[in-house]
Amino acid sequence: MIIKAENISYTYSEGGPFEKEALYNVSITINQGDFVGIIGHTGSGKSTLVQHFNGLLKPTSGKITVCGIDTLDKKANLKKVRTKVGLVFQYPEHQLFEETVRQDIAFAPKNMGLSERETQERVMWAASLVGLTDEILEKSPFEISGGQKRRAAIAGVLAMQPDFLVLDEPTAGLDPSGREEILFQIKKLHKETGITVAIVSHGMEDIAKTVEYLYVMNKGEIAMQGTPLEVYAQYELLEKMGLDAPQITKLMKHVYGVNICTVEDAKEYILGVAHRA
Amino acid sequence: MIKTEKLTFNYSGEQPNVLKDIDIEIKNGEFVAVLGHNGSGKSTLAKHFNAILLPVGGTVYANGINTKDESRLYDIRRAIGMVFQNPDNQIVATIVEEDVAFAPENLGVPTAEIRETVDWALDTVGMTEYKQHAPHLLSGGQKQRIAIAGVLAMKPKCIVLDEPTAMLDPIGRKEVMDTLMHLNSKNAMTIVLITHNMDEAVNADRVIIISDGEIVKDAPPHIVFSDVDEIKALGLDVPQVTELMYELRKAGLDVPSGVITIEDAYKALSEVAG
Repeated sequence: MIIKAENISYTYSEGGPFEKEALYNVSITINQGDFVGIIGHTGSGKSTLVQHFNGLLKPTSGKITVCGIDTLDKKANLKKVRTKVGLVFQYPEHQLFEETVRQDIAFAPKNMGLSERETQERVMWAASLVGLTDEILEKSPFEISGGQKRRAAIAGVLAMQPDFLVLDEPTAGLDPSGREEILFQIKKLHKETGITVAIVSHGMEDIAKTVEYLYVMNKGEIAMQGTPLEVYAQYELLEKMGLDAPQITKLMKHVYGVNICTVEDAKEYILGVAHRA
Repeated sequence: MIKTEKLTFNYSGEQPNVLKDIDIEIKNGEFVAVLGHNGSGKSTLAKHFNAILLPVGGTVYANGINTKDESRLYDIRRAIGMVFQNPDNQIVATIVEEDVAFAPENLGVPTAEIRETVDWALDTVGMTEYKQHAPHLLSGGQKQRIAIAGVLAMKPKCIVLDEPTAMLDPIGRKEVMDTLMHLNSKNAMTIVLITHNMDEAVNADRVIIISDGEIVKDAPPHIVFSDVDEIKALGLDVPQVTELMYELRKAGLDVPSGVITIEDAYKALSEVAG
């Protein structure tokens, strides 16, 4: 088990004039090998929640264990937690800072105290997982495209060989082919290494065809959960929470009364109906 | 409103041209969406519309003024306002209405008139009730609407927006899109919207696609999006319903081409489904 959160609540600036309860009684379990999505509008608490996953934030009440470590325990080894759980923030490419992509990816393993040889092995491993070539590794992070920068930033986190990869809005600001590419690489990574992945997003159509299980955050609580199909079927409820379901879900429900959330499945269904008629 | 003739641009003589012989004309009151993959040159093009960048070859006329005419720079910037991706980079004051008043104050507009202009601009973007708020406590969509109000306060004829919704959630996106459509239909404001979001582009009168510094498509959205394979080959995407209808047509089903809205898709499928 990677994450086990039991009734966690979190209040920003507790006791201060701007006190704000951002998480309320959230319980969530993420198991080894899961591929989950966490969606919610801005301010719903989703980023606050994922910052609990590597001990950046600690609950004001309730309990969370990360890879078996209780982050509230005063003796907890948070450094270890942070190498187990790799958090990729929004616009991670803004955090690239080294002279070459290779040096940037090497930063974390070097800091973990690995030898030069081990570090380079990690760099090559992480780069190949996100599809970065040798040629790109020698370039400055400023010379490569937006999609490549983002993959370089993700590789920098993967180089720690975390058990759990958390990505906050990994496709924000990318063009459609850049988005496809990132999601494809993440799916492939999950399939090949079995790494546990959580994607935080409000891009509904992207996530419908990527993750296996969805949590919907609203006003600091987990308001819905299930497979993408189960969640999107309740699109009226999603819209009330300021979210949107894929166009296809609405269309198929409206015309045929069925739950379908990808273009491929819709095509198959409609052609099936047409052939039977 | 905006006209380019054989516009060519590169960031330095040694580098290849980012824009190649671009000829476009954007008329008064039009709502134009500009699409293109990252690095296609669309932001570079937009920056020519109000003289942030000047052409290396060819000419750009903004509101009838040659953008190379330095003495008319203020006139150009007043006529054509720009809004960028990140609202946090565009807000300068600590109170919403002071931020919106920034441009007219700098233009030396009399105080009474500033009051009137600011009230009008905030009302137009639907942010009047937040006029005394601090911008940093607003949501992304609200901040972006403040940025639009700040541009409106110069009373421009045209607004150019470079991916204004990229950092916003679905509610914020809708707020900004509703504001733009309102400005276009009620205030006859010319809108140039640069976006990666195909669902936003379908609202435009006209869609221009740029690829490698050249214009490859320039037509109404239902025509531009009708060839899904071609759009995908350009590194772009189409709305989900457009893709579905295209695939169904290819498979031999009798559905119309150029379906771009979910309403049209309802209609078409309801006929097929009987």
